[in-house]
Formats: sequence, C-alpha cells, structure tokens
Amino acid sequence: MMRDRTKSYFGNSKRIIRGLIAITAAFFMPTADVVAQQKDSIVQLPVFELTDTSVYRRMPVSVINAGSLEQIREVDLGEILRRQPNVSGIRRGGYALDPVVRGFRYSQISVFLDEGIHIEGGCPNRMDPVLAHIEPEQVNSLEIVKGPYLLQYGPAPSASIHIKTRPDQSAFNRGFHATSHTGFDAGRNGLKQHISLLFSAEKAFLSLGGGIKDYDNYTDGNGKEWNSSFTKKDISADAGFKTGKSGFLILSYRGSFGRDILFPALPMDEKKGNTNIFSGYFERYNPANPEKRLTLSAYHSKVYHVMDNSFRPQYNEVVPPYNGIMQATAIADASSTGGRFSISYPFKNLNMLHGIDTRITTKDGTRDMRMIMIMDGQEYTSEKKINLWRDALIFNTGLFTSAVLKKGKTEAFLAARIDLNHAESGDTLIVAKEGNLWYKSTPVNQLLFSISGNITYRLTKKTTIGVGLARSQRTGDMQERYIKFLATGFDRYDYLGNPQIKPETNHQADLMLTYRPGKAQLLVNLFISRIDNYITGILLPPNVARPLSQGAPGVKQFGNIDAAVFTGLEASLSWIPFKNSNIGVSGAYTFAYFTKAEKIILENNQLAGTEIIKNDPVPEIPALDATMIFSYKFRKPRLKPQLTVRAVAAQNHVSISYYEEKSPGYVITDLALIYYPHKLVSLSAGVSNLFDIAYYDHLNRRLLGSNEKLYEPGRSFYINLKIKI
Amino acid sequence: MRPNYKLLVLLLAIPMIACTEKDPPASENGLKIVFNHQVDNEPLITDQMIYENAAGNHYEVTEIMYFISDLTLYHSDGSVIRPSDWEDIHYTDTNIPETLEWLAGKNIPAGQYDSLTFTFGLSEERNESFMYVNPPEVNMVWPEVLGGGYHYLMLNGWWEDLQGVRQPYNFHLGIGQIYENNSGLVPDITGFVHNYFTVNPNGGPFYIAAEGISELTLTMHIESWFETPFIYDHNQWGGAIMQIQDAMYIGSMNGRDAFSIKQ
Repeated sequence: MMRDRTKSYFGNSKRIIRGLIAITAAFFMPTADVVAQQKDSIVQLPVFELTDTSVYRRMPVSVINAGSLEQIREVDLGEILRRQPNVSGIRRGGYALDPVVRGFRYSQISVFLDEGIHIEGGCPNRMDPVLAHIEPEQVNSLEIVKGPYLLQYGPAPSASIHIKTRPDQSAFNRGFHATSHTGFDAGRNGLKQHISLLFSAEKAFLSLGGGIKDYDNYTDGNGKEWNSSFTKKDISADAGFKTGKSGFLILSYRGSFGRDILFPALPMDEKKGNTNIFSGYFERYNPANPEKRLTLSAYHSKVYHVMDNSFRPQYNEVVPPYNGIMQATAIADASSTGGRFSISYPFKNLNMLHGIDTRITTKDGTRDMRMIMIMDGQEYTSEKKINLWRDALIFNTGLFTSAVLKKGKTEAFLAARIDLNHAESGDTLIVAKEGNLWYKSTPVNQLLFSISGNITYRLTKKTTIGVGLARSQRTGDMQERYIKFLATGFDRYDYLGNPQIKPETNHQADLMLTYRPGKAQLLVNLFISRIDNYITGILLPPNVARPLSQGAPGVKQFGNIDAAVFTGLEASLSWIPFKNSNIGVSGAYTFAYFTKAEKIILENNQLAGTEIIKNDPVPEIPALDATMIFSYKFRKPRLKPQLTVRAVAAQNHVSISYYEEKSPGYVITDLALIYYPHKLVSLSAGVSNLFDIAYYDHLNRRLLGSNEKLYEPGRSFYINLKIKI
Repeated sequence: MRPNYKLLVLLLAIPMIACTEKDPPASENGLKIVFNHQVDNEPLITDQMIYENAAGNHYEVTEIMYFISDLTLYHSDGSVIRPSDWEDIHYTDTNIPETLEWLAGKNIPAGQYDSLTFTFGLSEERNESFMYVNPPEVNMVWPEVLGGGYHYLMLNGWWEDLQGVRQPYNFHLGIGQIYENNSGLVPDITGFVHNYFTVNPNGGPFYIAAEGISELTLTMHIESWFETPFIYDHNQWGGAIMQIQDAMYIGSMNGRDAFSIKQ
C-alpha cells in the first residue's frame, strides 16, 4: 500500500499561501542595518564557516555554525553534513542520511551531543542514525573531527561529530527573545516551522522550542517520484540556574518524533520513532582563573522505533513472484545512559584536563513476520516472532586525560584514554553446525587503549605545518555483536552479530598545511589510516544460516578481517578577489582498500568457488569531489547572492569482493540569495540542482528489489525566513 | 629543526598506488547433480493429457517443485561423505531451469562411490517455518496450522475424472495432520506426521574425479508416485490432499523408488 499523501487542492494551497504571505511580508519590511545575523567567522570556507582557533588548527576539523544551517534547503543533518569536504552520506530515503567521513561510517564515527550525550538508534536498518534524532534548529554548532583525536567524550574510533545543542553561559541575563524559522521547499511540497523562546534573568533562564516538518515525496531529475515523504516534530527545553558566582546548572530535554518516514531502499518504513533525551550539566569555575574548572554531566536518551511494510504493496495484496501476502513489523527499544566528570587546570605551560565517563547502552527488539496464503481455497496465516536483540547491554567506562602546550611557534596537544567495555545479551540463540559454533552470546570484557597527539609549528608568518598521530580502538556495537538476521549493511544480505568480535584498531597520521598569503587561505590535509581487525560482514554458508528478510540473498556475519587502509586528502582555498566577494574551492578524495579480501563466487546462488583479492577497494567509499562557491555581499540592500557548483567524479575504484558497482560522476549547481531586510529578519531563497540533473551519489542505496540506485532530488525552489525578536 | 614534510607527503602517497590483484584459484573438484523428470522412461512433456497411471487415471503434469536434502555419498572404501558444506537443501522447480542443476559439493574425495541417499523433503528438525523468505522457495510454505514448514513436493496437473471432466490435482506432500474423528477440520487437529523419507536411488556406482566437476543425473520417474507399493487413484483422493494424511502416506511410500541415478 502506498502512503496516501494526496491532499486536497485547497489544503495544499492554503499551506503554500500561508507560507508565501509570511515570506512576502518580510520582503517589504524596512531595510535596516544588520549586524546580528552574520556570525563572527574569520575564514569562510566553501559552504560553511570555519572558526579558526588554535584548537582547530591542530586537528583536522570542520565547524558548522547555526547561522549556516538556517539558510539552506536541507532539513536533515546528515544531508547537511554531506556538503563538507570528504563527508558523504548513505541515502536510503528522503530523510536520515547516514554520515560517512573519509570513508568511515556507522560506529567508526562517534556522534554525540554536548558533553558526551550518546544516542543509540533504534532501527536495525539504520533508518535513524544518531543525527536523525536531532533537528537542525536545535543545533548551535557542529564539529566534525576527521580522525581519532577527540578522546575526551568517549572512544573516538575514526572520526567524531560533536553536536552542540545546549545553551552556554551566555544564555543568562539576556531578557526575552523569540525566534521563528519558517521554510518551504517547493520540490517536495515541504513546510517547516520552528519556534524558540528564551526567558532569561541574571540567575536563571528558560528556553523552550518546538517545530514541525511535513515533507512529501521528492522527484528526481528524470521526473520520477520516489516514496520519500516524512513528518517530524520536535520539542526542547533548557532551564539554567546560577549556583553562586562561579557555577551554573543546566537541565535539558530534547524530544524528536518521526512518523511515516519512507525508505524505498529498505524493506520497511518507519511508522513511529520517538526520541527523548534528558540531561543535566553542572559547571564550576574559578572566576580569577577561568581555565580552572570542574564539570559534571549526566544524561538518559531513549528511542522507541516501530517499522513495518504497510506502505508496500505486498502488505495487502499478492505481488508475484510471491504467492502470499507478506507482512512484517519490527519494534525496538534502545537507551543510552551515562555521565561524565572532568577537571581542567593550567599547569606551567600546559592546560591539563582529566576525567572519567561512563555509558550504559541497552537494546531490545522483536520482529513479527506474517504470511497469508490461499491454498486449496482456504486462507492460512503463518506467523513468526523473533528477537532482533534481547536485553542486549554494553557498558563502557573510560578514563581520559589531555594536555595542551603552547610555547613559541609550537602548539601541541596530547590525549589518551583507557576504556573497560563489557557486553552481554539475554539471547538464547545458538547457531552451530558440525562442531563449529557460529553464534552464542556470552558476556565479554574488553580493554581499549587510545592515544592521540597533534603538533603544529609556525614555519613562517603565513605558513603553518601540523602533524597528527593517533591510535584508537573501538569495540563492536549493538549491531555487530547482537543483531539477528536483518539487512543492516551496504548490501542486501541479512546480518548476524558476533558476540566475540574483536576490537577494531585505527592507526592514523595526518599532515596539515596552512598557507595564508594576504586575502587568501589555503588548507591541505593529507591522511593515512590503517585499521587492524576491520569489522565487516563475512558470508555464511546457507546451511549455517538463512536470511529472514525478503530480498536478502544470504546471511553475513560480522567478523574481523586483517586490515584496511584508508588514505587521501582534503584541500580548500578561500580567496577574496575583490571587496565583498569570496571564492571558495575545496576538494577531497579517499582511497581505501582491504589488504586481503575473499570473494565468494556464486552461480545460481550456489557456491562455485572463492578467490583471494589483494588490495581490494573498500566498498562505499565516496568518489573524488570538488566544490566551488562564489558569493558577493551587497551593502544596500543587504543582499548576498551565492553560486555553488559541486562536481563529483565517477567512482570506478569499487570492491571486487563485494560485487560493488561503479557510479557515474555528476555536476550540480545551486543558486542562493540571502537577504536581510531588517535587523530582526533574514530571508534566504534559492534553487538547488538548478539544471534539474538526474543523478545519484555512489553511496545511495538501491531501490529494494531492483538494481536501480536511489536518485537524488531534482530541481527544487526553496525559501527560508527567520525572525528574531 | 625544520620538518621534512616532503618526505611525509611521499610516505602518505605510497599507499595510493596499491594495485588490486587476484590470487589464482586452487584446483578443486566437485559434484554436480542434474535433475531430470520422466514418465514411463520418456522425458516429461508438460500440459498434455497423454499419460495414464496404474489406477487408469488419464493425467497431465503442469509443474513439479520439491526439496531434497541431506545428500550422503557412500565411497567404495567404506567412508560416508556429506558433500554439501555450503547448501545441503536443494529446491528443484521444472519452471526454473537454473534449479535443475545443483553443485552439491566441492573438494570431495575422489574415487568410486557405490551409492547415494538423500532425504526427500525436509527432516523434522530442518523443516522450520520462515526458513525461506524469498521466491521461489518461500512459495513452498506449508500452513502453520497444518504443521508449518514447507511442502516437500508440489506435483500439479490435471486428470480426467470418472465423468471424463478435466479436474485439477495438487499432489502435495508435507506435514500431515491427525484429526479427531477424521473430521478434517483444523480445530480438531490432535497431532502431526512428518512424511519425509530417505531415498536410495537405483543406479550406480559412479565416480568423482580428482579435478573438475563430475556430473550425475538424478531422474524422477513421475509415474512411480502413483504405484508401488500402493496404487494411487485420483478419483479416490480428489484434487487436494494436504489435509488427507492417508493420501500423503501413499505418496511418501511410493516416492521411495521414484528416483534413479546415472552417470
């Protein structure tokens, strides 16, 4: 059954008209000098702003500020991040792109909020990666650290995405503020509205926010409509209290509620996704020496996820080649609870930080399958319930320490952490065959050790060189340890967890060069990473395990393979050719391969042989891409047109052992106009995919049941309005 | 000291020139079973009312689908080989030519084999519901209330009844049911009967070479389902037998000599 997104002509029109009236009204507001809307960026990189502090010079990091998020068409943080150099996303539908940083994905990327708030997504198909639980309007800034360098907020395997949502100390003593964000995306008939309020006094503040997004299916450049609609609501609240002259406490709540989110590349769609995050943060500092501080935080995040195939034809009718009605529902409950304590203080030339953090992740879920068939004139229903997870638990506790040194032309940063990781599950499933034990859940304890160091040296006034070295470990996550027979990976295979999986170890080196000749800035970052005990899926013989998901050709079990090597570079140039103008160019490339991989040769789904491939490309590595942005700021009226061209090369470096297919390149052009008619109002409008190019990214998944890749949206006009009082 | 960053760049660039290579596959042998279907020792011709069974029923065959499992080979040196280390259940479907060949195993001890056996259908411990979720195997599902799991056999066609009217028959084997008072009503089911059986086909010996794929033809003699040791009469049992254990019992007994092998 297709989702009935049909709305009456008048229903649609009213919504569009309401949006247009609000937006048009803003255009006619008196133009005034605008100061507040433009963030204090120092360097403007392509698309987003980089806050160029010494901290970020030492690490390969990108920072996206809230100001940038308000002006774009995209409403999904995963899609927004994809604009960053060497950050890509796996598209399974119209929402919730799963980020890929330098070819690393899933649990290789540590995604967390504020002081280490972690969210365990509920969906085994990754319909709800961590970023999907947070709305862009709730975000103050995003930091993407491309490497295992950020060790102070939990294990950081190969990259970190730090989402800052909590108001900081500046929220006190600001009086009353209200902010409204309204947006309309014509390509999807999508409307978004978000309102936030701040009541602030000297010793306390209260911040409330809430929003809604309702988006229909999108259409690609060929005119094909993809079942990709979604509805989301969010709510947030923060209450802050001063505790004496040198301390404060903030209690926060974030809620995100998704309904009927369609994923044409997956066997099911999300019917319901409820996320509730409760957290508290306490900070005490020395007024005379603010670098001397103590922080204490705690959180509890809970995700309830329901998915089924009720929007698919086979839920209600017999779809050949099946001869029965096939219905499936999966429900998952996940939670993450944790806390963090840290102290920081200056010591001689060093700034020291020490702390401890802990996290308890739990997951439980079931799948219900029904098959309704007519045989000999009678209707029969067969039903089976299985556990996806059963009382699975991962308990991680870590000690961390770091030191920052600034001396002359040199800045250095050293961090280390040690983690004790305990995992267990209430599973009773045992998969054994002829003396080989493939799956049996027994409690596992693992000790992880991670260390990272960065050093930068100013060669000349214009040139800085930096080197980063790191070693970081991660254990298997909930999927990799305990998932049972669901398609979770890059391919269509069902996956089986491996409770005894070994930790994956990343050894990484970065070389960073910065050159600033006058009105330009050039950044180059080369990296190499070797992952030992790389965690990936290994095909099981059908006589050991058979798939339970429709369309899955077999079962793969998570396991470790010897090693994978990732290497590549990011480069960006920002240049001011003449006053008020800016040209930004960036490019990125990752080259990754398994040192040795086994290719299973199947003929008619029967094992015909195996082949060892040396230096086989790792699957799902983004292709070489480059982005160019040109913008110009007019003073009167306050207007900033911006042209963006993004070119992505064909990806021909594909995995042989995974039967990965090549992808063609594409060039996309976006046009945007940002207008500040009043100091309280900003308006951004534009057209994305100006030439209505039909294209798909290499990481886009295939439409379920076909070899057709999920295409990206075609041309789309959009408009965003922000009013802040 | 000025760092030698040219050297660092070079070191970082070296891995980018790694070339993909394939190791040559090791030599190995294997056994391929080719499925053949005959009536009265002639290749099956479907959808033509040209056959007559031992009960005197004129009949035609539309399609045949079945599972065999637990293939076991008996080497002349006395060893017993289970060759199917990858897939030990095979689905055969006369509508799908790819299923008429089964690469039953690889790296099998070479030499002469006296015989083989297999389970027709699925043994009790292997016949799990929802074991298959994809076509074509999923379409062999056996209703949960009638015992669950999968059909062992679907032999579908038509026969002429006593009035000369062309009637459909579904000669299906699977888990049988025992009904209180032989009512045939689902609520009256008191037990189940697993009707799978072991087949030791006529023919042999056969040989498996040390290298390359050795082929063996497994022939189903369709007329045998309706004779020896019991005469099966469509007019007696009707078109649908999945809730008639007595009819499925006859099928499970008759099927034991319905196969032969030839190399």
